[in-house]
Amino acid sequence: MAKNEKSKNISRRNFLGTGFLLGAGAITAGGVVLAAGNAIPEISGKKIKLLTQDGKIIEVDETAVLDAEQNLSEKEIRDGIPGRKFVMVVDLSKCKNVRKCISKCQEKHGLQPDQEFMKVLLMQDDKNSAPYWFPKPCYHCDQPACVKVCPVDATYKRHDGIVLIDNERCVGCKFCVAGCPYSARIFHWKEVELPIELANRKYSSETSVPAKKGTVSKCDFCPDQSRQGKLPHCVTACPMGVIYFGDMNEDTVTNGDETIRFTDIIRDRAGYRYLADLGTAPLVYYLPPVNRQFPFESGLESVTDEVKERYKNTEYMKSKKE
Amino acid sequence: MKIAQKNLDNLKKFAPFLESTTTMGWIWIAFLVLIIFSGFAAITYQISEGQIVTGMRDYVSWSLYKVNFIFFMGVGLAGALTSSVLHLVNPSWKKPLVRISELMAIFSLIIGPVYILCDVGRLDRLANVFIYARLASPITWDVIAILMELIVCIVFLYLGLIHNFAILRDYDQLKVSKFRKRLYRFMAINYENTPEQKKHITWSQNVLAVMVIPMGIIVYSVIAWLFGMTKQAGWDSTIFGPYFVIAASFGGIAALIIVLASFRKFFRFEEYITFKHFNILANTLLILAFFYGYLSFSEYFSKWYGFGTFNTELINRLFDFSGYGPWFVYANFIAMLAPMLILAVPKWRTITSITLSAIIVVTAFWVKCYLIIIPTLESQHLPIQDSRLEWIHYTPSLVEIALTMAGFATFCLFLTLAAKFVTVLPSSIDIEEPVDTKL
Amino acid sequence: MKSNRISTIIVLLISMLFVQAFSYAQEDEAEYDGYITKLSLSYIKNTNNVKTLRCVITAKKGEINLPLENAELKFYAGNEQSLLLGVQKTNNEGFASLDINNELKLPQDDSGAVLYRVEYKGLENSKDVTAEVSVVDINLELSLEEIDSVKTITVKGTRIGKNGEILPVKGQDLTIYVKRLYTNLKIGEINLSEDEGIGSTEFKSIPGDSVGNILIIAKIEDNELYATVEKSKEIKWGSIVSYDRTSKKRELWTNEAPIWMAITLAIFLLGVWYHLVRVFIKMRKIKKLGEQIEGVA
Repeated sequence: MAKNEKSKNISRRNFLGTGFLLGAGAITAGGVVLAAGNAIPEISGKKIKLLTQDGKIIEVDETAVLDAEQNLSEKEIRDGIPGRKFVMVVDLSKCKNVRKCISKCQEKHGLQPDQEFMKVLLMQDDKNSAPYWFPKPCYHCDQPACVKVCPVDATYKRHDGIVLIDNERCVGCKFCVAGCPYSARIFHWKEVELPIELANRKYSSETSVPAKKGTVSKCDFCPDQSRQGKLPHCVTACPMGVIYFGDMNEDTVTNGDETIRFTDIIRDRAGYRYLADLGTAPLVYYLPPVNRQFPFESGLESVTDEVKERYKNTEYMKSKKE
Repeated sequence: MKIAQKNLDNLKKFAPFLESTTTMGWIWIAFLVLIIFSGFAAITYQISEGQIVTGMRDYVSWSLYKVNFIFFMGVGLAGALTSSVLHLVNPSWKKPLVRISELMAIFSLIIGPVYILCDVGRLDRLANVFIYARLASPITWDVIAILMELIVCIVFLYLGLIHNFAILRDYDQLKVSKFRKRLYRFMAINYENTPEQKKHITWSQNVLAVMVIPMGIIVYSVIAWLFGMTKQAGWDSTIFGPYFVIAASFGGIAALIIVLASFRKFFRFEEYITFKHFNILANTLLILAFFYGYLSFSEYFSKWYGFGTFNTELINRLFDFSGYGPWFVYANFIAMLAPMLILAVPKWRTITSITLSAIIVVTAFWVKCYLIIIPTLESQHLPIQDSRLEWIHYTPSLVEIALTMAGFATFCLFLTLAAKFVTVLPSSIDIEEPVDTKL
Repeated sequence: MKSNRISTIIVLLISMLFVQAFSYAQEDEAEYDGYITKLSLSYIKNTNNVKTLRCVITAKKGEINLPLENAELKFYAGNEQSLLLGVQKTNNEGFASLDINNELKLPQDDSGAVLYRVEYKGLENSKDVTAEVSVVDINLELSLEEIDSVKTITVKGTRIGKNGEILPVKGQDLTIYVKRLYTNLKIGEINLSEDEGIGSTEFKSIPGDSVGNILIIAKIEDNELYATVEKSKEIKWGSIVSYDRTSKKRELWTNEAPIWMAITLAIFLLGVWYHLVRVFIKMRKIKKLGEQIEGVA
């Protein structure tokens, strides 16, 4: 994966050179365009609908929202987005380990190639059962084992269901890392290396950027995106439409392409929560890997050797060798 | 009235320890200081580079530091329990044991929490633990309970030492610096061993001795709950509190035996610390070995018998003889059986054999702490799929090993220095028969 | 399963435009030095009858797909004698849009359709790219009524004929959505009748906001003739979702721990400190007693 990333960067640089010839201001823009993540779109006068504190829909100018987003108070961040209850549905029948969710997430959160908020695991319940690809973000549990044990209230559960971490308060005791039964958390073991445009940003728990050495990070469900009415990065990055995201209060989830009622899809496709018997009440649901859209093996075709190496101890890979 | 006059014989015997240090003594201290300095170098390196220099990674996020933490806290618990029980029961042979066990307790209780500091990623934000304290977190319980325990233990030790300071204050021939003389005077708080003063001291000691027992159990249970309150395989156990307390008492008593044997050998205390003391401690060790074996058995037997996916994975890991298997056998079977075999046969029961079995038990207790933490973190609920070996399997780094050794060196240094400052064996006078008081 | 190209465009557009959906789009490509400049044009008429042309311009080579910023785009209407509607520069997402002035008389062809065109001139040695879309302007009327206690959504489609007469839009399919946080949720379909151009569907219960408000959208999407046209209305038809944000229960994972934990801790601390303080007082007494003795001596 690291290799891939590198070659991409090189060809981007190539393009900047070519961009000059292509003209039309693409040259001057090139650098900025590459950093498009934090730029504010110049669409003015566009109204967007928002839910107020007491749960009413109001219409405001979009630019006002974007401005506000950058100046959220600590309390607003800790309370969460009013009236929302976020939920994720992962359709295991569609995942073929393309790993775009991971790379996009890493890019947007300034993570190193070996740091993953989202993981894709090769799962096989036992030797005789079918293997499947298993994307695993943070489950943002309703009874979070990690939040319980935090001694300083640095990780907290918001009213909109999202569990966030305040990197500026975290003391780095790693209790939450040890306490999370889903291994969702990562620790910044060394100085955090970030692209300059991410490093210069003002820290916000909602973006998890810029992270700090000696503290804990994890998947944050991208609430900064939701505040702008945009889907989390992993959802939009997935070419297979595996990940649905939405608001339980609205009873709606979408993968950007298809929008469905949450209760319908969970009922019709027998949705379940992974290891729900631990009593953690996760906010991530899975749809069982039945009627697959791709053969399982296709998930091994496009991945790097490094990624393949990760799966080498699984029953499936062992049996394949024989 | 000069208290010292009464104790001249005793004082003459102990004064050399306080007044001067032998060449061997200096070499020993220098050796310990060297190890401690390497520990300082290690922690400085770790703070500047981040915890990447440890063997810890995202899955095994707790390691040797936590192992040493629970080890030293366990020794501290055993020391505190021993000294307070001895104080309350007040057997005639208690004198050589009380102060050593109390010192052992305090030094362990001081060193233990330092490991937590080593384990914390942001030492600069340590104040947050008090500013934003969350009552629901076992770490907060730990901080509160350990601080209380430490205060109570120090006061308890001090109460026992007041008489000793008074004697040293009044002993004119003692050739120590003026500063130390003044320190003794200050620490003695005008104690003159009047019946009324004695009554106050005894009352205070009794109260604290009674408090130390439940507090020690609470502190160590709370430490056990750092693990027991999570959902991880092997940790999610209802008996973790009592199990930890028993295991710590077991390992801690063994540590006390080793400390006593060392003092006996290196300070030539053969006259005071006799086979009788070792014999009594050996009996205690034997009883605790049964308890420990019983709890270990019920813990792992029920996990193994009742299986469950995650427990099975952990048990397989612990029973794997190419991995943790030998250590598991050492910590759970040999540690339990060794004292039984050695101590159960009267002919084999000598100071040397008792010390030997104590060494087995102490090392086994440390290994036990290791086995409780690391294999569990290597057996996560979700499969660990990683191409990096050091993320899957934990190996201690040099930094962690250096700090571990520094902890043990500090423990030895503290005991050595304490023996240079006070008479570690209370003379027959400075602990007198307690006056009957009502609590 | 859809083809890769379309899916890429869809993902691209959605991520860039965060619009409810996008209108019927036409694309043009030009190649230079291995980079393919891709221009897409779409037309959307929103609920306020504002007609908007939307453009996205990107350069693609292999895996790389970059938006072109600050590209100057010229918007035209009509085929032969084209009318310049305006010039816009793209933003940093390669996006530009133009609202069409409703006062303008746009050149129509025989079928009543208007041809819209957007042009991008690259540098001298690169090819121009243009994209076109042909649209017949129609109006949608959305009415929300309870008929025999059945909540009914009715839509009527009309267009203006050559001589200014109002004609029904016949047989057209359209979709009914409700507005959601990220996208629109489809709740039904309507087929406009062949005679009057009217169709209706029943509204079934769905969560609204805290007072039950819900925004209902009738929409024709990416239609070959009409491009994208939508009409929306807000109504109190949604089931009421209560957002109780005031209750701040004391739970294990809230900042404030359950009350019994606080009580237990208080008892523990009080017990310990009560005795410690008494011990400290005793120690003071010892000191005082000693002073007296020394004083006597």
